[in-house]
Amino acid sequence: MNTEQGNQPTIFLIEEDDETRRPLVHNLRREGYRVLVSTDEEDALERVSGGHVHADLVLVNLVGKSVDEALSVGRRVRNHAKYDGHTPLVVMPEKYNKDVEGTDVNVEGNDWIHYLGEEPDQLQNLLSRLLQRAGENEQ
Amino acid sequence: MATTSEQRSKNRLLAALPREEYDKLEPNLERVSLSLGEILFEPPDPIRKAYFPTSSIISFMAELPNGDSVEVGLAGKEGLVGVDVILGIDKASKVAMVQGAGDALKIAVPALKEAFNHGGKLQQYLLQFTHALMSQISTSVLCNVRHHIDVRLARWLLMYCDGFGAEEFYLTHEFTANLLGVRRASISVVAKQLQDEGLITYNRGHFRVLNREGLEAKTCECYPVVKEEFDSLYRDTTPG
Repeated sequence: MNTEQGNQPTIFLIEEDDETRRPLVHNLRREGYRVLVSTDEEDALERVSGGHVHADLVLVNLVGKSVDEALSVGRRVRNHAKYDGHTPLVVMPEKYNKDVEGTDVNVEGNDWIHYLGEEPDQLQNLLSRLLQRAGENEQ
Repeated sequence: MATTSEQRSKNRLLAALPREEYDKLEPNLERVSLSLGEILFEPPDPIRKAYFPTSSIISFMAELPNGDSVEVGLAGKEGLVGVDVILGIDKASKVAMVQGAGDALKIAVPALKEAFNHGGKLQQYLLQFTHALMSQISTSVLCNVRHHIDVRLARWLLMYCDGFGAEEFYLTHEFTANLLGVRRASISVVAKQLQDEGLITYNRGHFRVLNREGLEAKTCECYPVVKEEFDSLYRDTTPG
């Protein structure tokens, strides 16, 4: 896990929703994460090109795109950044049915779909779990 | 069950009426219990009944053709649901949905129009309330465009506190999203922010305000503007 900034895990956030970006970044920083923010895929790819941006987890929230498209964007950014395949990727879909609200689905390897529900700590619980596991894998 | 006279004191508009005006109106009033989520009227239906809420809260939702909706206003014990009819508009232009279960006094539209057309204080108060409601709606539009989501949520929570007369209440996840004009997923994110700031607790639609002063400091100038509009209604009255 990257510890260049002390013991703070770093989350690379790609958040297209202007309304959600501000409170989400606020929450993540309050939880003790270092947060790097991109507003879309193009911006994200530009930032990670060159491999100088390190992150312990990639979090993606895109507007007007399907879950598969969001997963593809997240994987492209992760590959472009030369993060290894163990770097967790979490995608938050824009729209979904109520019956999946509040669930986390592991789609492949360390790639997750997080269906935000009514429990305010749900996202933080998943991120904490994934980062802890990633840290253990590195040791 | 309380009589309509006892219910009268719980609606500020009715309570402010001179006795003789209320006495003429009373035979047309029927006490009803309104359930959470109940639709009182919606486009394109005609408005057949109007409601003086006594302990219920009704929200007005504007709907887009794709089904998305945003709350643009709400009315409770300070006024009437269905003021459109006194302006000569008999068809619903917004969805009126019960957001806080409770009671109201129902009146048929012809009886309300007849009483309104007699003039007097009822006419004056209904027009003043309509103005306050228009001010609330226009402020909401401005607020939705200009202010951040956390600030807007703080404002609506304060308005609901005022409406319910309680610091703890339940709003569905979907409704709160409509309230703010955002997708459902954003609600838990912004609610967490206010929770981490020690202003509220939130879990599965249950809001509890922990620090009202903090919430007032957090919100925008839109809240005191609208609050003053409604607080100033009927201020100079001596109820009969």
